[in-house]
Amino acid sequence: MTALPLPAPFDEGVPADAVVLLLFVAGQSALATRARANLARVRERLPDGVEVVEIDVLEAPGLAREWRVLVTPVLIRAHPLPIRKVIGDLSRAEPAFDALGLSLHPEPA
Amino acid sequence: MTLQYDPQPLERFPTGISGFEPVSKGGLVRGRASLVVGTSGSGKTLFCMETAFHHVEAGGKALVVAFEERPEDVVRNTMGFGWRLDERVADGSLRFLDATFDPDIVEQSGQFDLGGLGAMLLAEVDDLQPELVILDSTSAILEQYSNSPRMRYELVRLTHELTRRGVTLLLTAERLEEYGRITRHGVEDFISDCVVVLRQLLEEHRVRRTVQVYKLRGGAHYNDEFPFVIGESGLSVLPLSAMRLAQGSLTDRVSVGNAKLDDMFDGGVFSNSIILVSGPTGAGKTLIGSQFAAEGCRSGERVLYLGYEESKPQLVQNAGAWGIDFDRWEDEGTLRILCCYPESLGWAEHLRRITREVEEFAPSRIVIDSVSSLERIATKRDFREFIVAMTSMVKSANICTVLTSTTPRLTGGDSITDAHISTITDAILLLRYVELDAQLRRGMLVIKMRGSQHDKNVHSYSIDSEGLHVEAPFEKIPGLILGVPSPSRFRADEKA
Repeated sequence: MTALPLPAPFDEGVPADAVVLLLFVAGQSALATRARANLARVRERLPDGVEVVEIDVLEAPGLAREWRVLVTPVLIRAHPLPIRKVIGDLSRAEPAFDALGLSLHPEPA
Repeated sequence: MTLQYDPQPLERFPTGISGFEPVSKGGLVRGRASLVVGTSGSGKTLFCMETAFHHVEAGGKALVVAFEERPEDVVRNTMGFGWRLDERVADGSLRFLDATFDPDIVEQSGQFDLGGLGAMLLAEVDDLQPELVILDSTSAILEQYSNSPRMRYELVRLTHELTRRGVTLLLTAERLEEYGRITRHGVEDFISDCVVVLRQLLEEHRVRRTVQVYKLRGGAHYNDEFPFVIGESGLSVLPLSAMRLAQGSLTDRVSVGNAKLDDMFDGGVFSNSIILVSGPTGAGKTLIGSQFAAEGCRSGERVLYLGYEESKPQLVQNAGAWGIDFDRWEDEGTLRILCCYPESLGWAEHLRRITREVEEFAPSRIVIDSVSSLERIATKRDFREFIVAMTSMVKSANICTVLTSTTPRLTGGDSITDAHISTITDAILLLRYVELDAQLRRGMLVIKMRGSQHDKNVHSYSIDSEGLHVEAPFEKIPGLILGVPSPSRFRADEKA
């Protein structure tokens, strides 16, 4: 099976060491709001060069299909390969980013 | 707010599955959600895909969300039935959404719902405008993610969104036992317009499949379990109890091809009757069948000969030895001979084949030689159902039918076939060997002839190169037909 295509902004010229995360949410649902907030909370602690793109499945169902997003919210490591997905509202951030191969900087005291 | 009532009854959505519409009295419920439940391997996916196949073949559009099997596997697995779903995918009338297990999911962090599935499903529906949407299976998605109240609620919401758009929805769900709780995850609680239960049971070392319309809101249907098979071209339900025995009037008589035998039937058999010829091996059943067929051909009728005990060349050669030229009639198109071994097909396939031949060839006479050889390939219960279905089919087509049945013992006795069949047949001719004065003789007797008088004597008969000759009745042989004649009693009678 071939790798799934990257969505338009990332299909070419992505630096090899860049990390691209896609956050798929459904509109303004409670889960979407919670996921956004949970992500924003750890944003500062992400390693350098990590880019996060939010995609609303209600506006871009085609992308949901391309990325096989059945459940939302889901955070997908789109680059580098292999693709990794963490489903849920990211209420347990550390294991979630661990699973994506990203270690968060320690929480500021 | 006032309630608006729609005075129109619920419309039905035909599945196209052979025999399902008679059982459900019209099919699924159009514009509503129907649920197909069954254990693993019971045929749920096939039921759905056959419905989708017939729908798109008839010019409709369908969307299939595949949770369990990958779309390419679904398409490949159904090619064996001659369905070219790939072509329908290519021409755009059939679309798949691959929602199978996603190995890229490595972690779960908090709560989630089916937002992604809902968004892409509704977008596809708005784009394709399908009349039919299939979700196969809801158990797989609940199993893979979580069977939480939230997920079940999401599924309900999704089915409502879909049916609100007017699509007919077909969902599947798995159950763990053949009887008992309807589904594993309680999906039936919210999808309640129509529930179809598929079962597979092991009986006498054979798989017996049944389908039951458990519930069909707002519509009449049969509640019984009906047997079905997965045959060469898909599912086939045998709507046995739904069949009506159409009894035509018994008026016209036809010859069985032997004047003396006609006399025993008081002037031939009725043209729409079923005649059972029962006898041990070598008694002349095939000869009687061949003469019956030949008589039909001679008078310009179409005759279908189904042979299950010998090959076609053998049959033609034997008939030739009695001066019957089957080859010529076959060339002229009045005769169709089909020979095959019973084991080459399942019983339901045989039934379908006979039905197809009757529809295509439209014979006015049929010989089935022998019906008892088909006993080997079915359970007792299935064989009975086969006999009932087959006889009611030929009966409703007004075909004069000769069924032969081989009895296990040379003298007397009866067979399973006879026991099942005797009440259905209109006339019964018994052929038996009789041992008299250290000689093996043949005897025949008409034991039943519905709506007519008949000869009650046991006639002696012989077979030679000219065919079968009915001779004078035996005299004073008690127990000839039901058992072995008693010589002592015979002698005692003579002395008296």
